[in-house]
Amino acid sequence: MSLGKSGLILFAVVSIGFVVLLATRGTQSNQPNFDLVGQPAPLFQAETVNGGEFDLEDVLIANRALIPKDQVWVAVNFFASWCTGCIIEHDELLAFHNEGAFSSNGVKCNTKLVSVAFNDNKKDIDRFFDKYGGDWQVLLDEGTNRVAINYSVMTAPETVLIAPNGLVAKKIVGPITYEKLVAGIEC
Amino acid sequence: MNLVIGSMGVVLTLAASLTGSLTIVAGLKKSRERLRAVGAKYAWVAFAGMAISTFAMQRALVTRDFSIKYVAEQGSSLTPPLYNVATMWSALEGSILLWGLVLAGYLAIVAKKFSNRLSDPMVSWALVTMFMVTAFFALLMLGPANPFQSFDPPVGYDGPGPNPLLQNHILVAFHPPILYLGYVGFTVPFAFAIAALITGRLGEGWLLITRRWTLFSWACLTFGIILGAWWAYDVLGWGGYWGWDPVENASLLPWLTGTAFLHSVLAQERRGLLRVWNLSLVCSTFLLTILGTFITRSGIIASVHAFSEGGIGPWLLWFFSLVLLVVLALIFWRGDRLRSQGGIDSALSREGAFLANNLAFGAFAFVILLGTIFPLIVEATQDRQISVGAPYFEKMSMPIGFVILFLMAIAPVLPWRKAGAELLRDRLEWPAWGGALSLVIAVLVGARGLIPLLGFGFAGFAGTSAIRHLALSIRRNKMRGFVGRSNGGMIVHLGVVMLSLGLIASSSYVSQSSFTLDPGETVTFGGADITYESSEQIVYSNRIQEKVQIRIDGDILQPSIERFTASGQLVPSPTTKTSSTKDIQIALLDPPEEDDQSIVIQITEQPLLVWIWVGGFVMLFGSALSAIPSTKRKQTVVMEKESSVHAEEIER
Repeated sequence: MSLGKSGLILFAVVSIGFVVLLATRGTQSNQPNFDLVGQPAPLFQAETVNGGEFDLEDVLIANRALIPKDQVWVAVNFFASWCTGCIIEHDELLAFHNEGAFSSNGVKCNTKLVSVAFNDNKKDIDRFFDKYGGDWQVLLDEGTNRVAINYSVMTAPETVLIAPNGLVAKKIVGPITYEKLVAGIEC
Repeated sequence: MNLVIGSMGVVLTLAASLTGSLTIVAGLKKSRERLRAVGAKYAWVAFAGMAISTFAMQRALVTRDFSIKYVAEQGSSLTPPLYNVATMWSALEGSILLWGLVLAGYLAIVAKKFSNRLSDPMVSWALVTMFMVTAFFALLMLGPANPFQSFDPPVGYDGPGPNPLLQNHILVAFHPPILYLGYVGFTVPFAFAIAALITGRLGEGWLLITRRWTLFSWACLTFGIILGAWWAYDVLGWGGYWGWDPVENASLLPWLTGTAFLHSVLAQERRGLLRVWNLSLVCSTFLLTILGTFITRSGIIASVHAFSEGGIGPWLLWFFSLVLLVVLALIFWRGDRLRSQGGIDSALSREGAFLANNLAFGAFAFVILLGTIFPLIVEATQDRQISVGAPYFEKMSMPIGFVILFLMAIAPVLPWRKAGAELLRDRLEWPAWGGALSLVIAVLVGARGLIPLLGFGFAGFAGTSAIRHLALSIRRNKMRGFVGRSNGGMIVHLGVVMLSLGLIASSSYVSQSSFTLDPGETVTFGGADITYESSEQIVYSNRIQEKVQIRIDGDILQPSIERFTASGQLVPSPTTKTSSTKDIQIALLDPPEEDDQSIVIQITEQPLLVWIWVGGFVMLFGSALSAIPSTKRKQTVVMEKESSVHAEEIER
């Protein structure tokens, strides 16, 4: 057999493998889900920029063992270093991270803030946080934007508040204010 | 009503495509030319079907006929007229309809153009191939991507309208159709490549026939991609124009193989080299358009831009596999005839440079394909999800880009067969000085950093080489020195050089800042005084626009934010102050709540950015020039050659 023909056969084998690979991948739903509020929050786990890990399910499971006062409200903030709306809201996020939220009866509630990077990379994220401050967990969702897609995030910034029972309490599109974010948090 | 007319159009196209291909095949088998001529006529029927469907869809969109699901989901009574027309390509089903229309259009033009050459089996087989592809797209429109599904709108129903990002810029109306003219146009050279394989006439005939078709498709694809980048730059407001998103990569992949083909074709025409390679490149280009559509439409890759809709994925993958199988089987079958008549004598020759060019473009395409599908490979083998981001693509494409610029300088001065060192030294003297000069100028105006400086040097080298070629040609042929394949090609090269300068400078020397400004307040940025003057609110039918007036060095820019009524989505509308040396883009991030309150703006300054778009226009212009025959004499030579090739092939 000539070199050309063996090359062709090799190419054919690789092609078959390629097609099989494509054919066996599950399809992921990229359909936007705009009725997120009131529904169970899509679970996710991801690495943080500092090498740690965040798993939403862990927080929600831990919540079940706690009395309501100690249960954690999670704010998931989708941001990007290239997005200026994110710079605008950053002070408000810092306030939320540092001061937390208070119930209508004046009790301080347990809150947790995680940021999810949207179309961004570690270098720029680090630079962003060096410049504007903040030491909460930042998750890399680079390239896949899986988490953002599950939460129907069109562009940064968007923020989702998840109640201790795992339901989405609210979704704020665009820059948040501290008041907007904490309104309705009870414990 | 629109629904019935539209569906009928699709059915008509399917029926005409199938009948047309079967009639021509029958005509071929029975050697009856009359049958083939009748078969070819069905191309017009297929086109008429698509034209009717498009008319029905446009009519439905314009009259807001919400009894069609597509219109109900994508249209809106609030969408302005121009974007109403463009809504046809704002989602999957309508895009496939546009694809079908363009494809049937090409089919009809090919049938018309070659109506006096139907005795040639190659033309007949090419038509059969195009009929089959058209039939597949008509099938898609009857199956998983049906644009004419019915919908029962509740009383008072109004659709959401297309994504707000797709209705605030004029380029949305032009970028997709032009891109499709290119994307779909590669079906023509593909069809002739298949026909050449089937008829066994693997000489240079099919290349000469499809030359201008390939060039036209390539030019449209080039321009379409650049318009897309321009749109992103103008709309998104953070100075970006390319994000290596799977959707963008899908348009770049066939462009890369198409560009490689435009070059390697010359080596076959002149020296009969690289026959299998050229066939493979044409087929790969076509296959990559299908693969790209599969990747972005099947949902196998998660992307904010790739929306999976319905079950079109498996259909596209089946079609991709089928075409791949047919191509491989045909090449295997025709293996003996595909052997080239000679080899490359020396690496230092025009054909050697073309080969190197092809390796560079091939590597480029491979790197991008790999990056795009790598997440799938990892997911399949390691059961975890990863992603490949822009840094990978930038790191990989930069050195390949430099190699291509370098080859662009060397190749035009190389003679066919073999070049001596003496000759090279002589011919490359001016380009080398040009490269050095551009490097020195870059340093003098303050450019720093090894990689951008290298880029400027290579760009100057390549640019001067193209100018040298043009200057010599104009001295010989006066105004005709601008036209013809190689001269037009050199103008395309100049466009590429401009585009490269724009890309390198604008990505290496970005400066960006955001400011909070009270009315009347002035800040300085990059040496310019920037003053916030006033603001206004304008209410449109589908959106509310918050507009501010910013004075920058005497000019007034009016960036705005638009809030779309239907979705509540905020879309910034940045404005750009463009000059030949730099672009300053201002985006309004936070509009004033009251007239006298402060605003937040983001300012992005990027040097030489406008040259990306200028380069795109020059590439388009150069492509047009290269389609004009350079001299009368040369054309007769080509025709003689074509007919002799034809005769030689018939003898076999």
